[in-house]
Amino acid sequence: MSAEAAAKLGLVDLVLSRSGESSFPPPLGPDYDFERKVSLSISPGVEIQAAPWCLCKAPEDRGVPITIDTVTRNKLEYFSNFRGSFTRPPLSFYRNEELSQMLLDCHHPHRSQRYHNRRRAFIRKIKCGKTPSRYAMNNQSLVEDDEHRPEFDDVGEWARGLEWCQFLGEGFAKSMIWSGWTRIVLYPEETKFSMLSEGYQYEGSLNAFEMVVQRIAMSSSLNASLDYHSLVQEWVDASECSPAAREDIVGKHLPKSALTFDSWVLPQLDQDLEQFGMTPSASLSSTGSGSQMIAPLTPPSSGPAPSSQATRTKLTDDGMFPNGTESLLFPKADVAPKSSDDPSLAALGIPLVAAPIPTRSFGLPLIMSSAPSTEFIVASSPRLPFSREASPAPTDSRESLGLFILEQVARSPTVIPPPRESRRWSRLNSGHPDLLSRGSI
Amino acid sequence: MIEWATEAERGQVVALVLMGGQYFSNGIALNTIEHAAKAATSPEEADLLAGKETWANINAIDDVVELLAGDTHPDRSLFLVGKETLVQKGITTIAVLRGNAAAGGVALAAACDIVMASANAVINPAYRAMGLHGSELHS
Repeated sequence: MSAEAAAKLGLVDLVLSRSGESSFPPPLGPDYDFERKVSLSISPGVEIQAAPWCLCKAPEDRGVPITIDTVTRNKLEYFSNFRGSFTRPPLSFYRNEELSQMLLDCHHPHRSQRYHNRRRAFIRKIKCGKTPSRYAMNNQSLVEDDEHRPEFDDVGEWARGLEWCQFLGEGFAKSMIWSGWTRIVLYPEETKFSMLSEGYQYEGSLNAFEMVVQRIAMSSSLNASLDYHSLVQEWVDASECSPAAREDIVGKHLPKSALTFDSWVLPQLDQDLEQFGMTPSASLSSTGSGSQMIAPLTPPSSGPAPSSQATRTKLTDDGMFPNGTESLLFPKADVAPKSSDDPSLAALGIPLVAAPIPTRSFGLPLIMSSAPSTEFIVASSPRLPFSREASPAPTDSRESLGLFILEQVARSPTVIPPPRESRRWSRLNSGHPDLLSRGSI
Repeated sequence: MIEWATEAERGQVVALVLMGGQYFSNGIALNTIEHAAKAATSPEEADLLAGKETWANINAIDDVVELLAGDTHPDRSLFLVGKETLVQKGITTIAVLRGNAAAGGVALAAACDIVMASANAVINPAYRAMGLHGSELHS
């Protein structure tokens, strides 16, 4: 595109003519006239166009035009205060998400082949077999180019984050737990957005509201009694929605009562459990009294081998633990551990508690099995950040446990350790047909 | 080099202007990546070497872009941890496209606070034609 077209899109702030611009190739050597124009454009006191993050004005600068003198002040204002409404995550989140995709382009069997073939053809100037359809403006009946289809980015069954483990031997950044929504949606589809799921939504859509609530819930300052209503209202007020859309969001999506962890996050968690083929027992879906019992936990280890921390508990036929406590149902092992000191338990990094944590949300492996069984795994692994905490997880109520889990995730080290058996990850991607068809256990 | 240019010893720098030459930037150099694969003894090894070289180059340009963007959030890449960002030093970043820019070069320019372009510059932000998702904080 031309510089003018780029300026209309916002990629360029100022288009300047230069001497000899009608000649091709452009003249060599310094163009002092052009450089003088650049210099004049950024002189002190001269009003300029700048990037959006430079337009956010500090209170004392309201009404003052943007000049080179105020740019950095506005940018600091943007980073410091505008971020407070949970709509601007750190840029490192975007970076990690992009690099994750680039890793797939570099090494994934399907996508890397596509990249390497195109790169080789470009560098070696190999003659193209046909005109790319985007250039064939005269023939609209041509089959749509591959690049214009969502399947162009398809990686088949691939667990999110696996590329870091498989191709680099590293853990993936913690930010990837919830940064999926930062990806640009080139071909939007109607996607059910779940609180703890990855959401690919355009900002400004009604689902962006849910996205904000997700981030609020995920923040390290999570508090069961925190009233999210005011935080969400702040976002709605600061958003670029039209007044009508704003009213629509508030009216339809903001509950009449205060939006708390109990009233918003837990019901969404139940939806996620069902989506993963887990059926919470009836009492668990009731959160009124918050008195649900949690499966017995293995205390944090001061012992030797990780596998020795795994405790195996067999449920009764009606889904109860032998001591009478109810449990959250949990998918079973792909290859069921044979005993409580089965090393595969620790190798898979099983979560601390019996509460199921969807893989997509927390990047931790689920355990699945095709064998019918009512056995469930309650285990802990010192390899996980959770178990390094001195205090054990709370067991008085499901919401306090949920809070504990989310706080651990927020406080855990930047890098989540990779599983030893990365092969298992290929079965743990959300939407796996076996998992979805399994239904209740 | 950007870190060197903006060190306190350079004096009070208020603006960092990236001018480019006959063209501004086309992102990572694909011929460098192709050259990295020359030592391979099989097509599979060639792709592996090219993939590793691509990864190294992408991270390098991402470092530059992240430095230019100057995010003040504590959650940032390791090489920036504990350092003042450009905006905290009071430095405005300006990209001046005297010539063409493509792919990562466009994203690098767009990460600057002010972008100026010559009227005859051609800008091509696309990654997809190369089969790449793209990086450089373009999203």
